[in-house]
Amino acid sequence: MPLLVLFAFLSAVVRSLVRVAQNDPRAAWTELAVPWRLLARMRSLGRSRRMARRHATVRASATRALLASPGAALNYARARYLRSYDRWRLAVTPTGMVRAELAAAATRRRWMFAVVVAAAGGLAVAIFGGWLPGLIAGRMLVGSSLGVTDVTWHELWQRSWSGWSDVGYGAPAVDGGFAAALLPFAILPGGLRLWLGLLLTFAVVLAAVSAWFAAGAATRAVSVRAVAALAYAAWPPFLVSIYEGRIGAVIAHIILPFVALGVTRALGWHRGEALASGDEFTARRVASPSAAAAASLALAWCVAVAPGLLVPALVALAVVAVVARRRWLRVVLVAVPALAIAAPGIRAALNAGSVTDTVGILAREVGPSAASTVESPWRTVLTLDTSPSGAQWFAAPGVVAAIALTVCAAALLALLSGRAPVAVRVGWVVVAIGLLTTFAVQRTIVAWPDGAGSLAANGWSGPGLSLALIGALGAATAASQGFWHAGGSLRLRRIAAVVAVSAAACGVLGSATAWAWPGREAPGDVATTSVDVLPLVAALEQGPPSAERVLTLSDTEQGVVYSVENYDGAVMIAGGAGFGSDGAALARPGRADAPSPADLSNAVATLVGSGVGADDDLAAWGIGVIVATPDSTRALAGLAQVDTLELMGASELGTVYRVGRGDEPTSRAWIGTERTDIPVAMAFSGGNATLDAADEGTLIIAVPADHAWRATLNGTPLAAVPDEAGRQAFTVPAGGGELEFGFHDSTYRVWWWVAAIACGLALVASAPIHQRRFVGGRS
Amino acid sequence: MKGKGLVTGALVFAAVIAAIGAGGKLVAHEVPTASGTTVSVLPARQDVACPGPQSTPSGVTGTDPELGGAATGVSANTFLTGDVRPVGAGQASEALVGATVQRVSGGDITGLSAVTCTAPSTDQWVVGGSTTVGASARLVLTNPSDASVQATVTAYGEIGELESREVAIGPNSQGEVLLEGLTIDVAALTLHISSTGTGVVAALQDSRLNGFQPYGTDWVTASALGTDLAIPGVGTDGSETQNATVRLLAPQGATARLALTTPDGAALWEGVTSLDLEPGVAVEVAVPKADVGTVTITADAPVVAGAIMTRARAATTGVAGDTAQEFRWVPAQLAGDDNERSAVTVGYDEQVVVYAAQAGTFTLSDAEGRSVGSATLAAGATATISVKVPQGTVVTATGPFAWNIMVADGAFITAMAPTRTTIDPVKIAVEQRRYVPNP
Repeated sequence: MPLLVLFAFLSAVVRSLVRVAQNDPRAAWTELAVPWRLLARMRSLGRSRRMARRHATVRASATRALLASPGAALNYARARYLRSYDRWRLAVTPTGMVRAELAAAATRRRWMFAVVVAAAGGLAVAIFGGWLPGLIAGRMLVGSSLGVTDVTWHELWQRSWSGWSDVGYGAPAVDGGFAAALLPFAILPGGLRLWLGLLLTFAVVLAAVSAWFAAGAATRAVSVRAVAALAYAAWPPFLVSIYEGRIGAVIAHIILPFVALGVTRALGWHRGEALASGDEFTARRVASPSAAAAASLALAWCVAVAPGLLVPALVALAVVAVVARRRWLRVVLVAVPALAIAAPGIRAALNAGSVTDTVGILAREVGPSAASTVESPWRTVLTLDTSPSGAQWFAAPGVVAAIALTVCAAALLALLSGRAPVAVRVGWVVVAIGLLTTFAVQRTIVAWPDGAGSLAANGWSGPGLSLALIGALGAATAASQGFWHAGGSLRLRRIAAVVAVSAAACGVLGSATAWAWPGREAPGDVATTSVDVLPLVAALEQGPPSAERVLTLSDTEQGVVYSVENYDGAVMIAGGAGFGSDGAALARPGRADAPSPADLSNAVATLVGSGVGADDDLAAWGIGVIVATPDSTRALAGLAQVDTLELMGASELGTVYRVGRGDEPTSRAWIGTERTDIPVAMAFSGGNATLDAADEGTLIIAVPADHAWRATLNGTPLAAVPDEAGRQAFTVPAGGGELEFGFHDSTYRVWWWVAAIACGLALVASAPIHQRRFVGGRS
Repeated sequence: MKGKGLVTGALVFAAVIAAIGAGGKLVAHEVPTASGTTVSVLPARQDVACPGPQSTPSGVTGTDPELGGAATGVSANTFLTGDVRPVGAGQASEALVGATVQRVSGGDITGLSAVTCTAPSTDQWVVGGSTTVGASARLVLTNPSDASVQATVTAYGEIGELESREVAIGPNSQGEVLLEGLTIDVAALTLHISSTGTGVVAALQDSRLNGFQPYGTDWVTASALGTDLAIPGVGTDGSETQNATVRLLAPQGATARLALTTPDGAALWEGVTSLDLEPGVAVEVAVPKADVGTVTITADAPVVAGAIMTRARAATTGVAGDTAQEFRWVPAQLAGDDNERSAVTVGYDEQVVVYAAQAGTFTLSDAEGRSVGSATLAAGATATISVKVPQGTVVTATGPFAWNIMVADGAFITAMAPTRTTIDPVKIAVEQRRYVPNP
């Protein structure tokens, strides 16, 4: 009996999840309540058994023959299931005529899909195929805003899970959504290097495929679908996003059509296959809650990589919810996982000092970001801000804006035609939302300097324009449905349709060809390079146990640039911690005075000028290695003359010097005792050590002091003490034992779990398991 | 429905137009650009290095004892204070300045050669030398630092840029480039030496033969690059057996104006008021016969220059009546350079030729600050001062004067340029930017 109760608790969780998968939230709650009710009834069970025994006139075994055997019960359930399944199948199986028609449509569809994939694939290879040999040879993509891309899943996971961003000296992060959104790529064999490279190389194909599926919900005309898919795939701002390595905008562009598709299917608005009779197959469109869950998951992904999409997506969903009437709640629920992921950002935005800062935080670019020029709204809408310089044919405004003009014309035609009025109007509203978002973020600073070398940037037009494009394409494709088959003056209509679609196809393919034309200058600097960025001796020092930071020095025309790196090259794709206009981390508003590598200018100048005394400034922050990058003769000349630096080695990747600190080794965490400094092994955001009884002193962690850092000695919390350099320090009493320390931000962790559970439930719910469809004859 | 559709259609259309209109009205916030800081630091002082002795160029006469090319009667002296250590064949120390001198009375490199030991430089031009028949140009690159450096030697000549060679030089060692092995038959050789790391001390041994007769030897050192140059110590003493030639090169091309000032005033020099210099082409101009004075060069773009003075002498070997030759090279200096500069006397007959960019009193003082020679000069004037101090004396001068020490021992001549002994703070623009490798 106790086992049964225990089992009830365990099975309740599983059964509840199954109910979620079956999109039956009420049953899910009930399942969770079952074991508790069972527990509450335990006493009555004993009582009734006693009563039954007392009043029994025959032995218990006598009634056993009257009960159905387990086999019979199973048989019965199975028979009911099979009967209802047969009934369902009979109901949905089309007639032979319809089947033949559907088969023909399927063949047409598959062929056109193959053509779309082939065309998009050709375009992808023609424009970005130059990266492929490098990627296959084990190189990685790098870019000035993309950073290095050979990042392990573990680094992404630590960044997402710990709430600590170790860029520069480190800072508490607002959220870890971006790193988590890239995890799926990093855990595949080949790692983030390969899959992110392939994602960027074949993003055009992926966008074409996602747009193809989404367009299928709006129209069943394969030609229109194909043109819409290719227009979406060859959208100029999207291509610029790929060129510049703007991962967030690229992923959002690929995923957004799935959000639209999911919402459409969730409401049962998707089109059935058109039949010659004028009917659709299936006759009744089934609204799918699983699709709503899938849409919510897709939206959560989009918002994780491009937080600026949250507000426009909420507004768009609100509009859809109004139009959806009865099913409004389902539309509202689509926003929940995205809201859970964005919640910390929303909180930070509400705490911001000004409206501009609020907009900037809501639209913040967490991953790779870079400043972009702002042109007049019309030029942005017509994608003319992507024009290459020069007088070649592909730089002509008409060619650059071909896709935008085609889409604008199609959306306008859709509105004037009066066909599919609701879909067209919703589409136009989405266009307005997308455009307004674009113009607003373009003119706002969405990424502020983090003190570690990343620069301020205004918002990128990509995600907003992607949203607007989806609205316009949705309107145009929805209005085209059925144009071929129904209505008067059929011949004229068909000729008009062929002309319109052909013209649109010419516009799209012309623009796409222009991008792939030889000699066109790349608008971004993403390229392949070796995965080894720093000389091996330097990269080794960055690893455990000492986890030293590396100072890189590179010559410029005017002087020298420096950077403090914790990994083999600048990792920017784990997502920034998030900083406000005052320089404070968004997770710690008001703390604008946190130390950062920006304070190192004087130390760097001293090194380059071969002055002495910079070593202590560096070692104080765990910087144990200096690398003069290739072709940095000036920096090297300075370093070579500093007596206290020790040459570790030189390779084609740079010349490496060790920062001298007497006999004491440099590390990211150490215990300063009266005699000497004892290095403490440290990983991403924590570490541990076994101390001797005499090891009494101060534990210094070379990170900006933050209340979320905790340290314990044999389980007893250590008292944090102020440090003159602003580092995190704890008093370590004598006695020795196990020392542990780490970053534990409870607020961050709560939001992390909320987002994880919301996304997890959405993932389970998106499984296309039918809800009791065949059981009980209910369907 | 029809009317309602029209209204909603017009509304959504208006919404999109309004969005575009509103976009233009929004205030665009300026993106803060990267803010680097400029920091002033005093660079560490580098050790000075001497190139070591001159060597007899390899070839028939030098290596064959019967032909008597090997140097005989060699007396050499290096004046370097401090903790002197060998660097290759040369020496280095933490002293501010040093000098090395060598007198060879017989063999192919018969003559007097002296050179100031200076600190390394990462970018320098050496104007001098030749790789025509009988001439040898041996470039000695000294690296007195504890880090290895890579030097790139680019040879220029009368037809422009010629050849380049990379030389890797280990810590505390020397590298050597025989220019005749790099490019032959160049009469007006000019070298550009750029190097990584702390730089190198460059000295070019220019040794010449005419048949079997020694035709002079000297060290050529780095010339300044600038638009206003002075070469103090050029002239022929009015003698017919002496010749002086100025060699110029403008890396980016320039129009230059040359003038010769002697202690008696400006000398007549025709045809050099507007000299067109093509980029990278070395040009030689003969200096008129006049007293030893100063050649000034004014150009509209940076130029480098050096001057050679040849003096014929009676041969001591071969047939009676043969003439041998000896010469000295003098590099150009920045005319208005008023930094403190020093040189070390090496003995023999020493004279200082000084040129004043501005009027003032030029005072040469020794290490104790005692004046060892002075002259009051008008702007643009030049003077010759005889210096009588023990060899190895560090002589120092400040002010807007260009000066060189002319050393002579009978028919043997050489010259030494002073080197800067102070260090200016350098301004370094420092900026923080994440390190992404160049593809």
